[in-house]
Amino acid sequence: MPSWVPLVLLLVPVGICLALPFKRDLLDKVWLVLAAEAVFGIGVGTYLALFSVPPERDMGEVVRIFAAHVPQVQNALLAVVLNFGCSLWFLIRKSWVADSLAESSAEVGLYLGAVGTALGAIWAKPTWGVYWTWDPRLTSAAVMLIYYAGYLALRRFTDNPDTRATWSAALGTFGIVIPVTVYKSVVWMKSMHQVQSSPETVYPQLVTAFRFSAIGFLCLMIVFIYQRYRIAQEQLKREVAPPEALGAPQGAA
Amino acid sequence: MIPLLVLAQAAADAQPSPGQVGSGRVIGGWEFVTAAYVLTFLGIVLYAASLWVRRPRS
Repeated sequence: MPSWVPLVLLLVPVGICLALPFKRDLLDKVWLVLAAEAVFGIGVGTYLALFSVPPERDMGEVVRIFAAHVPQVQNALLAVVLNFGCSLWFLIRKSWVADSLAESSAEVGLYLGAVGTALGAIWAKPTWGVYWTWDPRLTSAAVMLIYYAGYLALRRFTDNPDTRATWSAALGTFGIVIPVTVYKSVVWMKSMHQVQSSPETVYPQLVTAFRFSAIGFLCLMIVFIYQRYRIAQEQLKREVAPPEALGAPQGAA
Repeated sequence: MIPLLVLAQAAADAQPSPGQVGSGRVIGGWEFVTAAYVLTFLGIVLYAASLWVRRPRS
């Protein structure tokens, strides 16, 4: 498979995201395209990582875990950065779209971060000898998971949509410190974790599999956030709209 | 010469068991790779199912 193919595939999600501010209902029409690209990207990436890539000199077979671990953690970081942007957007403009997007990105970021961190622990056992150690990268990742679990819990504390959105937007705005710390922890502190993964730093034989997988997970993240956003918008409509606006009989409670 | 042969034999016998760090190289480890990919796809399926269950009905 030519190594430029994943870069061409990257144009689809990037193009859609760039067009979204100008055409807000674009994802209603093209989310299935992104879902298909997610299946293709993750499928090809997994196939290449498992059956095509030779074992690495030191890590042997377990290097294959990178093609699943790194893209999930990268997209988790991307999702929580989106949560920060939407939280700030809500605080400035009081936009309910921003609030729903912030909630969706936090949940998807938590899911991807939890699986990505678990995969890191699975990789660590045969290479470091332990599933977990209080290394700066691992510790900051654990703090990130707890923080965004707390963010989602906070949203359940009140039924008032305005209060809920304001509290969580404040938490989401302060939360930007965490993904930055997770990303830079391997540089700022003494860490046994590898430096940030990029095509220059990962095992060269794994780069193509890694790219397919990363683009697949990017598309998956967008689709999941979009679907979760629809759920959040529906919940918001039920909370703020009068019952008759939702089709309930007149006079019903 | 004989002690050298004994040492070489001892080194050959001291191979780490699969999945363990021994000589600086990880030997085996497919069970960890399998666990990682099973967890990845299980996560995708379960989260997609949770979105499906919560989907807007209108």
